[in-house]
Amino acid sequence: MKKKSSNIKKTRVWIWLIPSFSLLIFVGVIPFFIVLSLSFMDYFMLYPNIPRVFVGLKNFKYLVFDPWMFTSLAISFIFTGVAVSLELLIGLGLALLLSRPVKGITIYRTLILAPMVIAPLVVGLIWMQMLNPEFGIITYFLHKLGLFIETGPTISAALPSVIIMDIWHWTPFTTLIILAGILSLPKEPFEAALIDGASKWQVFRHITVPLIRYPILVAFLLRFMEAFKIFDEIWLLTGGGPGDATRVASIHAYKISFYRWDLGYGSAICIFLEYIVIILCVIFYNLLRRK
Amino acid sequence: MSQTSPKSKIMLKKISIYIPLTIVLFITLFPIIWLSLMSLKTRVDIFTLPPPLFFKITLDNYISAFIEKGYFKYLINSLIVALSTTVLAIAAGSITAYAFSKFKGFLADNHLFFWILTFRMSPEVIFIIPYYLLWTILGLYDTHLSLILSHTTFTLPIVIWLMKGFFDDIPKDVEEAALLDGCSWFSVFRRISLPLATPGLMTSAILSFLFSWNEFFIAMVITRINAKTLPAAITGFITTRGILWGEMAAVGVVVMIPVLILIFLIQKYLVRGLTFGAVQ
Repeated sequence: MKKKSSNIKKTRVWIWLIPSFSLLIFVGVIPFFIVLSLSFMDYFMLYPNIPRVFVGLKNFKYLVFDPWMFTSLAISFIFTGVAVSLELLIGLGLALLLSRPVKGITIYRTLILAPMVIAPLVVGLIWMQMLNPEFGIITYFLHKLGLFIETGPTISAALPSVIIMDIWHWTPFTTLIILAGILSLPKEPFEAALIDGASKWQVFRHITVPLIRYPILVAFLLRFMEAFKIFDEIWLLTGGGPGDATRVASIHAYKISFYRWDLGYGSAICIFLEYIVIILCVIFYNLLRRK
Repeated sequence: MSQTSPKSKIMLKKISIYIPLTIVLFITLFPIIWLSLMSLKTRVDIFTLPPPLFFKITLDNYISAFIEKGYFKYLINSLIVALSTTVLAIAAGSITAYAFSKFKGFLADNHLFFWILTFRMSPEVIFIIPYYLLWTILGLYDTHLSLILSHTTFTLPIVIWLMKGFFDDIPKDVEEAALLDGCSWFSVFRRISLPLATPGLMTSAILSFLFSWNEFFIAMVITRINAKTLPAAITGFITTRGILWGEMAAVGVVVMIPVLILIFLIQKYLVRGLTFGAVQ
């Protein structure tokens, strides 16, 4: 069998890769090098007559000391940190509930997935209506309950609103992955623990959690990468505002590039964001391989 | 344990599971139902507080959006782009995935395989500037082709990663028997492995479709009129004279329904698909 596969010459293996790799080079690698080269240039789209000039690391130097960039990164990390950790906590709780073998549980397991597949923009649209300060349904019921909390795109409420929206949207994702981990657990350690007279909390803390650490970590990394590059929902719900309240990194890069038309500096921000994600991606990949 | 405890205790235990689950289910489904109801309301009913329990159901929003305002064209665009992206990614991706799965001797270095994944994980924003420039220079700005190619950057890695896992699962004996009978690798791939990996094909096709159908950011930047997809067109209802909530909700429902149906077809493989095979 080994012989047969080694009969294939190296060149013929590459034929199998040609379709995908020619595509990826055209739509992935070339665009990447365009951004990379632009990030070393001064390039304002507003003045097309001014030639692009090579400025070396100027854009990156500016990036490091730009307080605006720092604010936007901080918002991104606050948003990602709070949203993702809450999604994991709620997801873990829900997965534990959904793992009980009670009647009709499969219906719950199925229906609870729905938000995850809805287009981010439509999610933004739904919450934009529900959180509207004047006629939003959530605002209305909060006021009925005597809670006069600001909702929607106001300075103090914008970031929490966006986080709540993200939790609604993506908790099904973490639940699904953690639930898959719980359902594939072996029975023996639990039986042994029961015989030894361990309490429920002890079983959960010392057996369940260590055994489902891997799916939790996978869910965390995938969610972190996605949440870090969020754009659509926030764009519709708050547009990155008011002020800079929800100006996450993607929105910042977009506004610098297509509102100020500073494509050089915009590209530098993009390259910076790309490398943050790639580092996370490397961690994810090593985790996968060690498994 | 539960056999010895009284019946009421079992009931209590069951209730302590069902009640929180039902509350969560309500929170999960309410926004979706709310949007659907909104799309069926008149403009007056949308703004009425408290929301009326019974209202006149009307299809005016759908008619206004899709026929009068011409959003039917964007629906067709969405279908063209999402279907083409899926077909392209499956056609190119499954071949590559097969090579990664079977010719390990020549593709031993897994860094290449990892490198493919980085395209899926990259923030969309990094591709916005080069696509805008590239498609403008090539005269492809605002065409279906440019949007299909742009989306393929993200869907191709999904297909390659998923399909490799499914090809890995096919027992070696089957393929080796065919190879010994004198079949070429390509005919083994086409006649034996691909049919055996049908669940994988379904899963990766639906996840590709899902990505392209839902995608907004790239579509917003590189299309204007001709190739605009539904998600990118929704923002058109936010006008200077106010937001057309009814029409917006109608378009939102049309974007939402197909993916909700599709996802239940591949529920069994959803975890595997969404985690790139990391959790099965």
